Amino acid sequence: MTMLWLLATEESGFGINFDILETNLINLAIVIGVLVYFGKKFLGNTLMTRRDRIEEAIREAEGRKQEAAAALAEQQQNLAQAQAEAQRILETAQANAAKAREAVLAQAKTDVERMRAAAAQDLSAQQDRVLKELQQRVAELAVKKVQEQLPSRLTDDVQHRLVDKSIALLGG
Amino acid sequence: MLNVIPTSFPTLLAELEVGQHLYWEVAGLKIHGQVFLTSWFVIAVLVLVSFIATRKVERVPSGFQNLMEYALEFIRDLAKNQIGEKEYRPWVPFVGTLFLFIFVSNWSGALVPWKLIHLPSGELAAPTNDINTTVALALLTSLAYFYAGFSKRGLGYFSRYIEPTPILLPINILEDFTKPLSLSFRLFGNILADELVVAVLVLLVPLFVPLPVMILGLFTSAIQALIFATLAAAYIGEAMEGHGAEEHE
Repeated sequence: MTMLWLLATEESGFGINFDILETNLINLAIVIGVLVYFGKKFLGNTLMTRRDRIEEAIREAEGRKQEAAAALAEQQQNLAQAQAEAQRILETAQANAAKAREAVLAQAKTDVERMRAAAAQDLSAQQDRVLKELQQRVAELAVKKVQEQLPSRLTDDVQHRLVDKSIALLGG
Repeated sequence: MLNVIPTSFPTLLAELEVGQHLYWEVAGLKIHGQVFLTSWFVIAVLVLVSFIATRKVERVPSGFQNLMEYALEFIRDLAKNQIGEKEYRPWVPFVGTLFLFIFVSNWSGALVPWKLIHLPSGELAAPTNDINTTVALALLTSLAYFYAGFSKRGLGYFSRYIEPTPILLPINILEDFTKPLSLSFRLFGNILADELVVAVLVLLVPLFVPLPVMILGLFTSAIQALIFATLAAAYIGEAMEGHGAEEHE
Protein backbone atom coordinates (compact mmCIF):
# COMPACT_ATOMS: atom_id res chain seq x y z
CA MET A 1 0.00 0.00 0.00
CA THR A 2 2.80 2.37 0.90
CA MET A 3 4.55 1.59 -2.28
CA LEU A 4 1.47 2.24 -4.30
CA TRP A 5 0.92 5.49 -2.54
CA LEU A 6 4.49 6.55 -3.20
CA LEU A 7 3.97 5.71 -6.79
CA ALA A 8 0.89 7.85 -6.81
CA THR A 9 2.44 10.91 -5.26
CA GLU A 10 5.78 10.83 -6.92
CA GLU A 11 4.42 10.29 -10.32
CA SER A 12 4.41 13.57 -12.12
CA GLY A 13 2.18 12.78 -15.09
CA PHE A 14 -1.25 11.30 -15.53
CA GLY A 15 -1.71 7.83 -14.20
CA ILE A 16 -4.06 5.40 -12.66
CA ASN A 17 -4.27 4.88 -8.96
CA PHE A 18 -5.11 1.31 -8.10
CA ASP A 19 -5.20 1.75 -4.35
CA ILE A 20 -8.64 0.39 -3.55
CA LEU A 21 -8.84 1.92 -0.10
CA GLU A 22 -7.53 5.32 -1.06
CA THR A 23 -9.77 5.62 -4.08
CA ASN A 24 -12.74 4.74 -1.93
CA LEU A 25 -13.83 2.15 -4.45
CA ILE A 26 -15.64 -0.15 -2.04
CA ASN A 27 -17.71 2.57 -0.48
CA LEU A 28 -18.54 4.02 -3.87
CA ALA A 29 -19.58 0.62 -5.12
CA ILE A 30 -21.85 0.17 -2.11
CA VAL A 31 -23.35 3.63 -2.52
CA ILE A 32 -23.92 3.09 -6.21
CA GLY A 33 -25.41 -0.31 -5.47
CA VAL A 34 -27.79 1.14 -2.89
CA LEU A 35 -28.67 3.96 -5.20
CA VAL A 36 -29.33 1.66 -8.12
CA TYR A 37 -31.32 -0.74 -5.98
CA PHE A 38 -33.63 1.84 -4.40
CA GLY A 39 -33.51 4.30 -7.25
CA LYS A 40 -34.53 1.65 -9.71
CA LYS A 41 -37.55 0.74 -7.65
CA PHE A 42 -38.63 4.31 -7.09
CA LEU A 43 -37.81 5.57 -10.55
CA GLY A 44 -39.20 2.46 -12.16
CA ASN A 45 -42.49 2.96 -10.40
CA THR A 46 -42.61 6.66 -11.19
CA LEU A 47 -41.74 6.15 -14.81
CA MET A 48 -44.15 3.26 -15.14
CA THR A 49 -47.05 5.28 -13.77
CA ARG A 50 -46.05 8.17 -16.01
CA ARG A 51 -45.95 5.89 -19.00
CA ASP A 52 -49.29 4.38 -18.09
CA ARG A 53 -50.80 7.81 -17.67
CA ILE A 54 -49.54 8.91 -21.06
CA GLU A 55 -50.74 5.71 -22.63
CA GLU A 56 -54.12 6.21 -21.04
CA ALA A 57 -54.27 9.80 -22.24
CA ILE A 58 -53.32 8.80 -25.75
CA ARG A 59 -55.86 6.01 -25.76
CA GLU A 60 -58.52 8.37 -24.56
CA ALA A 61 -57.60 10.93 -27.15
CA GLU A 62 -57.63 8.29 -29.85
CA GLY A 63 -60.99 7.05 -28.65
CA ARG A 64 -62.33 10.57 -28.80
CA LYS A 65 -60.86 10.96 -32.24
CA GLN A 66 -62.54 7.79 -33.43
CA GLU A 67 -65.81 8.89 -31.90
CA ALA A 68 -65.50 12.20 -33.63
CA ALA A 69 -64.69 10.48 -36.90
CA ALA A 70 -67.70 8.19 -36.49
CA ALA A 71 -69.90 11.16 -35.70
CA LEU A 72 -68.52 12.97 -38.72
CA ALA A 73 -69.23 9.96 -40.94
CA GLU A 74 -72.73 9.71 -39.52
CA GLN A 75 -73.40 13.35 -40.04
CA GLN A 76 -72.01 13.15 -43.55
CA GLN A 77 -74.34 10.26 -44.21
CA ASN A 78 -77.17 12.31 -42.82
CA LEU A 79 -76.15 15.14 -45.06
CA ALA A 80 -76.10 12.86 -48.09
CA GLN A 81 -79.50 11.52 -47.11
CA ALA A 82 -80.84 14.99 -46.68
CA GLN A 83 -79.43 15.99 -50.03
CA ALA A 84 -81.00 12.95 -51.66
CA GLU A 85 -84.26 13.81 -49.92
CA ALA A 86 -83.99 17.37 -51.17
CA GLN A 87 -83.32 16.10 -54.66
CA ARG A 88 -86.31 13.82 -54.46
CA ILE A 89 -88.53 16.59 -53.17
CA LEU A 90 -87.31 18.83 -55.94
CA GLU A 91 -88.07 16.19 -58.55
CA THR A 92 -91.55 15.49 -57.25
CA ALA A 93 -92.16 19.19 -57.03
CA GLN A 94 -91.11 19.59 -60.63
CA ALA A 95 -93.28 16.66 -61.67
CA ASN A 96 -96.19 18.15 -59.73
CA ALA A 97 -95.59 21.48 -61.33
CA ALA A 98 -95.60 19.94 -64.79
CA LYS A 99 -98.77 18.03 -64.00
CA ALA A 100 -100.43 21.13 -62.64
CA ARG A 101 -99.35 23.02 -65.71
CA GLU A 102 -100.90 20.40 -67.93
CA ALA A 103 -104.06 20.39 -65.90
CA VAL A 104 -104.33 24.15 -65.91
CA LEU A 105 -103.70 24.29 -69.64
CA ALA A 106 -106.30 21.60 -70.33
CA GLN A 107 -108.78 23.35 -68.08
CA ALA A 108 -108.12 26.63 -69.84
CA LYS A 109 -108.61 24.99 -73.19
CA THR A 110 -111.95 23.48 -72.23
CA ASP A 111 -112.95 26.80 -70.70
CA VAL A 112 -112.10 28.55 -73.89
CA GLU A 113 -114.10 25.99 -75.86
CA ARG A 114 -117.02 26.30 -73.57
CA MET A 115 -116.95 30.06 -73.64
CA ARG A 116 -116.62 30.04 -77.38
CA ALA A 117 -119.63 27.74 -77.66
CA ALA A 118 -121.61 29.90 -75.27
CA ALA A 119 -120.70 32.96 -77.23
CA ALA A 120 -121.77 31.36 -80.48
CA GLN A 121 -125.05 30.27 -78.97
CA ASP A 122 -125.60 33.69 -77.62
CA LEU A 123 -124.88 35.21 -80.97
CA SER A 124 -127.38 33.00 -82.84
CA ALA A 125 -130.04 33.64 -80.22
CA GLN A 126 -129.54 37.36 -80.62
CA GLN A 127 -129.69 36.99 -84.33
CA ASP A 128 -132.93 35.09 -84.07
CA ARG A 129 -134.39 37.66 -81.76
CA VAL A 130 -133.30 40.53 -83.95
CA LEU A 131 -134.70 38.81 -87.00
CA LYS A 132 -137.95 38.10 -85.23
CA GLU A 133 -138.25 41.71 -84.16
CA LEU A 134 -137.43 42.82 -87.63
CA GLN A 135 -140.11 40.58 -89.10
CA GLN A 136 -142.64 41.79 -86.59
CA ARG A 137 -141.78 45.36 -87.32
CA VAL A 138 -141.94 44.84 -91.02
CA ALA A 139 -145.29 43.13 -90.60
CA GLU A 140 -146.59 45.93 -88.42
CA LEU A 141 -145.42 48.53 -90.91
CA ALA A 142 -146.99 46.65 -93.72
CA VAL A 143 -150.30 46.31 -91.89
CA LYS A 144 -150.19 49.96 -91.01
CA LYS A 145 -149.54 50.92 -94.61
CA VAL A 146 -152.33 48.67 -95.70
CA GLN A 147 -154.69 50.25 -93.21
CA GLU A 148 -153.69 53.65 -94.46
CA GLN A 149 -154.13 52.82 -98.08
CA LEU A 150 -157.05 50.43 -97.86
CA PRO A 151 -159.88 52.95 -97.40
CA SER A 152 -158.77 54.88 -100.48
CA ARG A 153 -158.40 51.83 -102.70
CA LEU A 154 -161.22 49.66 -101.41
CA THR A 155 -164.14 51.20 -103.29
CA ASP A 156 -167.59 49.76 -103.43
CA ASP A 157 -167.03 48.49 -106.87
CA VAL A 158 -163.99 46.58 -105.83
CA GLN A 159 -165.86 45.35 -102.80
CA HIS A 160 -168.63 43.99 -104.91
CA ARG A 161 -166.26 42.28 -107.24
CA LEU A 162 -164.45 40.76 -104.41
CA VAL A 163 -167.60 39.54 -102.70
CA ASP A 164 -168.83 38.14 -105.96
CA LYS A 165 -165.56 36.41 -106.60
CA SER A 166 -165.69 34.92 -103.11
CA ILE A 167 -169.26 33.76 -103.59
CA ALA A 168 -168.28 32.25 -106.86
CA LEU A 169 -165.49 30.48 -105.21
CA LEU A 170 -167.80 29.16 -102.50
CA GLY A 171 -170.40 28.15 -104.94
CA GLY A 172 -167.80 26.54 -107.19
CA MET B 1 -5.03 28.23 -0.11
CA LEU B 2 -6.17 25.55 2.27
CA ASN B 3 -4.13 22.67 3.34
CA VAL B 4 -6.41 20.70 5.56
CA ILE B 5 -3.77 18.24 6.46
CA PRO B 6 -0.30 19.69 6.24
CA THR B 7 2.12 18.02 3.95
CA SER B 8 4.39 17.57 6.89
CA PHE B 9 1.90 15.05 8.18
CA PRO B 10 3.65 11.71 8.51
CA THR B 11 3.26 9.97 5.21
CA LEU B 12 2.02 6.82 6.80
CA LEU B 13 -1.59 7.14 5.73
CA ALA B 14 -2.16 9.38 2.82
CA GLU B 15 -2.43 12.97 1.88
CA LEU B 16 -5.43 15.19 1.44
CA GLU B 17 -5.01 18.23 -0.71
CA VAL B 18 -7.26 21.20 -1.11
CA GLY B 19 -6.33 24.20 -3.16
CA GLN B 20 -3.96 22.27 -5.36
CA HIS B 21 -4.83 22.51 -8.97
CA LEU B 22 -3.77 21.17 -12.29
CA TYR B 23 -2.88 24.45 -13.92
CA TRP B 24 -3.13 24.96 -17.62
CA GLU B 25 -1.82 28.10 -19.26
CA VAL B 26 -4.19 29.40 -21.89
CA ALA B 27 -3.50 32.81 -23.40
CA GLY B 28 -1.68 33.93 -20.29
CA LEU B 29 -4.47 32.72 -18.00
CA LYS B 30 -3.95 30.04 -15.46
CA ILE B 31 -6.94 27.77 -15.54
CA HIS B 32 -7.85 24.83 -13.40
CA GLY B 33 -7.49 21.85 -15.69
CA GLN B 34 -9.13 19.28 -13.46
CA VAL B 35 -12.34 21.34 -13.36
CA PHE B 36 -12.36 21.48 -17.13
CA LEU B 37 -11.84 17.76 -17.42
CA THR B 38 -14.74 16.91 -15.16
CA SER B 39 -16.91 19.64 -16.69
CA TRP B 40 -16.31 18.13 -20.08
CA PHE B 41 -17.22 14.78 -18.67
CA VAL B 42 -20.47 16.18 -17.26
CA ILE B 43 -21.26 17.98 -20.49
CA ALA B 44 -20.55 14.82 -22.46
CA VAL B 45 -22.83 12.82 -20.18
CA LEU B 46 -25.64 15.33 -20.57
CA VAL B 47 -25.26 15.55 -24.34
CA LEU B 48 -25.06 11.81 -24.67
CA VAL B 49 -28.11 11.23 -22.50
CA SER B 50 -30.08 13.89 -24.39
CA PHE B 51 -28.99 12.31 -27.65
CA ILE B 52 -29.98 8.82 -26.56
CA ALA B 53 -33.28 10.08 -25.20
CA THR B 54 -34.24 11.86 -28.41
CA ARG B 55 -32.73 9.44 -30.89
CA LYS B 56 -35.84 7.38 -31.34
CA VAL B 57 -38.75 9.49 -30.15
CA GLU B 58 -41.76 7.37 -29.47
CA ARG B 59 -45.31 8.37 -28.93
CA VAL B 60 -45.56 6.44 -25.69
CA PRO B 61 -42.24 7.20 -24.07
CA SER B 62 -40.21 4.38 -22.63
CA GLY B 63 -36.79 4.01 -21.12
CA PHE B 64 -34.50 6.99 -21.47
CA GLN B 65 -37.00 9.11 -23.28
CA ASN B 66 -39.45 8.62 -20.45
CA LEU B 67 -36.80 9.50 -17.86
CA MET B 68 -35.73 12.63 -19.66
CA GLU B 69 -39.29 13.72 -20.26
CA TYR B 70 -39.86 13.27 -16.57
CA ALA B 71 -36.82 15.45 -15.85
CA LEU B 72 -38.05 18.05 -18.30
CA GLU B 73 -41.47 18.06 -16.71
CA PHE B 74 -39.85 18.52 -13.32
CA ILE B 75 -37.78 21.47 -14.52
CA ARG B 76 -40.72 22.99 -16.32
CA ASP B 77 -42.86 22.82 -13.22
CA LEU B 78 -40.05 24.35 -11.22
CA ALA B 79 -39.71 27.25 -13.65
CA LYS B 80 -43.48 27.64 -13.84
CA ASN B 81 -43.82 27.80 -10.09
CA GLN B 82 -41.12 30.42 -9.71
CA ILE B 83 -41.56 32.59 -12.80
CA GLY B 84 -45.25 32.23 -13.40
CA GLU B 85 -47.43 30.67 -16.04
CA LYS B 86 -47.16 33.59 -18.41
CA GLU B 87 -43.43 34.15 -18.71
CA TYR B 88 -41.81 30.89 -17.72
CA ARG B 89 -41.50 29.26 -21.13
CA PRO B 90 -38.41 31.06 -22.52
CA TRP B 91 -36.57 30.46 -19.25
CA VAL B 92 -36.99 26.70 -19.08
CA PRO B 93 -33.78 26.03 -21.04
CA PHE B 94 -31.71 28.27 -18.79
CA VAL B 95 -33.10 26.97 -15.54
CA GLY B 96 -32.99 23.42 -16.84
CA THR B 97 -29.37 23.75 -17.89
CA LEU B 98 -28.45 25.11 -14.48
CA PHE B 99 -30.26 22.33 -12.70
CA LEU B 100 -29.02 19.49 -14.86
CA PHE B 101 -25.44 20.69 -15.00
CA ILE B 102 -25.21 21.25 -11.26
CA PHE B 103 -27.04 18.05 -10.46
CA VAL B 104 -24.93 15.87 -12.71
CA SER B 105 -21.78 17.67 -11.55
CA ASN B 106 -22.60 17.08 -7.91
CA TRP B 107 -23.53 13.48 -8.38
CA SER B 108 -20.55 12.79 -10.58
CA GLY B 109 -18.41 14.11 -7.75
CA ALA B 110 -20.19 11.83 -5.32
CA LEU B 111 -20.52 8.69 -7.42
CA VAL B 112 -17.72 8.51 -9.99
CA PRO B 113 -14.48 7.14 -8.60
CA TRP B 114 -12.43 10.04 -9.90
CA LYS B 115 -9.50 9.15 -7.71
CA LEU B 116 -8.74 6.22 -9.94
CA ILE B 117 -7.23 8.75 -12.26
CA HIS B 118 -4.14 10.33 -10.91
CA LEU B 119 -3.24 13.83 -12.02
CA PRO B 120 0.16 15.50 -11.84
CA SER B 121 -1.33 17.98 -9.43
CA GLY B 122 -4.69 18.36 -7.76
CA GLU B 123 -7.38 15.77 -8.16
CA LEU B 124 -10.54 15.29 -10.13
CA ALA B 125 -13.77 16.14 -8.36
CA ALA B 126 -17.14 17.66 -9.05
CA PRO B 127 -16.83 20.87 -11.14
CA THR B 128 -19.02 22.63 -8.59
CA ASN B 129 -16.33 21.91 -6.03
CA ASP B 130 -14.38 24.81 -7.56
CA ILE B 131 -15.44 28.35 -6.70
CA ASN B 132 -14.83 29.49 -10.30
CA THR B 133 -17.54 27.22 -11.63
CA THR B 134 -20.12 28.30 -9.11
CA VAL B 135 -19.26 31.99 -9.52
CA ALA B 136 -19.61 31.62 -13.26
CA LEU B 137 -23.02 30.01 -12.85
CA ALA B 138 -24.11 32.67 -10.35
CA LEU B 139 -22.96 35.53 -12.59
CA LEU B 140 -24.82 33.97 -15.49
CA THR B 141 -27.88 33.97 -13.29
CA SER B 142 -27.33 37.66 -12.49
CA LEU B 143 -27.02 38.47 -16.18
CA ALA B 144 -30.13 36.43 -16.86
CA TYR B 145 -32.28 38.24 -14.36
CA PHE B 146 -31.02 41.66 -15.42
CA TYR B 147 -31.79 40.74 -19.01
CA ALA B 148 -35.21 39.42 -18.02
CA GLY B 149 -36.01 42.58 -16.08
CA PHE B 150 -34.86 45.00 -18.77
CA SER B 151 -36.44 43.14 -21.64
CA LYS B 152 -39.73 42.93 -19.78
CA ARG B 153 -39.98 46.31 -18.11
CA GLY B 154 -37.43 48.50 -19.89
CA LEU B 155 -36.09 51.33 -17.79
CA GLY B 156 -38.97 50.81 -15.43
CA TYR B 157 -36.86 48.01 -14.08
CA PHE B 158 -34.95 50.60 -12.02
CA SER B 159 -38.09 51.49 -10.15
CA ARG B 160 -37.71 48.30 -8.18
CA TYR B 161 -34.68 49.79 -6.45
CA ILE B 162 -36.86 52.36 -4.70
CA GLU B 163 -39.62 49.97 -3.81
CA PRO B 164 -41.30 49.79 -1.41
CA THR B 165 -39.56 52.95 -0.18
CA PRO B 166 -36.54 54.93 -1.45
CA ILE B 167 -34.90 54.48 1.93
CA LEU B 168 -34.20 50.89 0.95
CA LEU B 169 -32.23 51.96 -2.12
CA PRO B 170 -28.80 50.96 -0.73
CA ILE B 171 -30.10 47.62 0.41
CA ASN B 172 -31.75 46.96 -2.91
CA ILE B 173 -28.53 47.77 -4.71
CA LEU B 174 -26.62 45.59 -2.30
CA GLU B 175 -28.98 42.77 -3.13
CA ASP B 176 -27.64 42.62 -6.66
CA PHE B 177 -24.24 41.83 -5.22
CA THR B 178 -25.34 39.48 -2.49
CA LYS B 179 -27.43 37.35 -4.80
CA PRO B 180 -24.59 35.94 -6.91
CA LEU B 181 -22.37 35.88 -3.87
CA SER B 182 -24.74 33.78 -1.82
CA LEU B 183 -25.64 31.57 -4.78
CA SER B 184 -22.06 30.75 -5.62
CA PHE B 185 -20.81 30.35 -2.05
CA ARG B 186 -23.74 28.21 -1.00
CA LEU B 187 -23.19 25.73 -3.80
CA PHE B 188 -19.41 25.79 -3.58
CA GLY B 189 -19.39 25.47 0.20
CA ASN B 190 -21.85 22.62 0.35
CA ILE B 191 -20.18 20.54 -2.31
CA LEU B 192 -16.65 21.20 -1.11
CA ALA B 193 -17.60 20.50 2.48
CA ASP B 194 -19.34 17.31 1.54
CA GLU B 195 -16.39 16.05 -0.47
CA LEU B 196 -13.97 17.07 2.25
CA VAL B 197 -15.92 15.28 4.92
CA VAL B 198 -16.03 12.16 2.82
CA ALA B 199 -12.34 12.43 1.99
CA VAL B 200 -11.36 12.93 5.63
CA LEU B 201 -13.48 10.03 6.77
CA VAL B 202 -12.05 7.85 4.04
CA LEU B 203 -8.60 8.78 5.24
CA LEU B 204 -9.41 7.92 8.81
CA VAL B 205 -11.61 4.87 8.37
CA PRO B 206 -11.52 3.68 4.79
CA LEU B 207 -14.39 1.23 4.97
CA PHE B 208 -18.10 1.59 5.67
CA VAL B 209 -17.90 4.54 8.08
CA PRO B 210 -18.07 7.14 5.27
CA LEU B 211 -21.17 5.50 3.84
CA PRO B 212 -23.81 7.52 5.74
CA VAL B 213 -22.00 10.74 4.94
CA MET B 214 -21.75 9.76 1.31
CA ILE B 215 -25.45 9.06 1.10
CA LEU B 216 -26.16 12.29 2.91
CA GLY B 217 -23.84 13.91 0.38
CA LEU B 218 -25.93 12.56 -2.48
CA PHE B 219 -28.98 14.04 -0.82
CA THR B 220 -27.43 17.48 -0.23
CA SER B 221 -25.99 17.48 -3.74
CA ALA B 222 -29.40 16.99 -5.23
CA ILE B 223 -30.90 19.58 -2.88
CA GLN B 224 -28.20 22.11 -3.76
CA ALA B 225 -28.87 21.70 -7.46
CA LEU B 226 -32.55 22.16 -6.80
CA ILE B 227 -31.93 25.22 -4.61
CA PHE B 228 -29.66 26.86 -7.16
CA ALA B 229 -32.13 26.32 -10.01
CA THR B 230 -35.09 27.40 -7.90
CA LEU B 231 -33.38 30.56 -6.70
CA ALA B 232 -32.23 31.45 -10.20
CA ALA B 233 -35.78 31.04 -11.47
CA ALA B 234 -37.11 33.02 -8.51
CA TYR B 235 -34.71 35.90 -9.18
CA ILE B 236 -35.71 35.94 -12.84
CA GLY B 237 -39.36 35.89 -11.95
CA GLU B 238 -38.90 38.62 -9.37
CA ALA B 239 -37.03 40.82 -11.84
CA MET B 240 -39.87 40.51 -14.31
CA GLU B 241 -42.67 41.04 -11.86
CA GLY B 242 -41.34 43.90 -9.81
CA HIS B 243 -41.90 44.35 -6.11
CA GLY B 244 -45.55 43.82 -5.52
CA ALA B 245 -46.56 46.01 -8.40
CA GLU B 246 -48.84 43.28 -9.59
CA GLU B 247 -50.44 40.78 -7.35
CA HIS B 248 -49.83 37.35 -8.65
CA GLU B 249 -51.64 34.96 -6.35
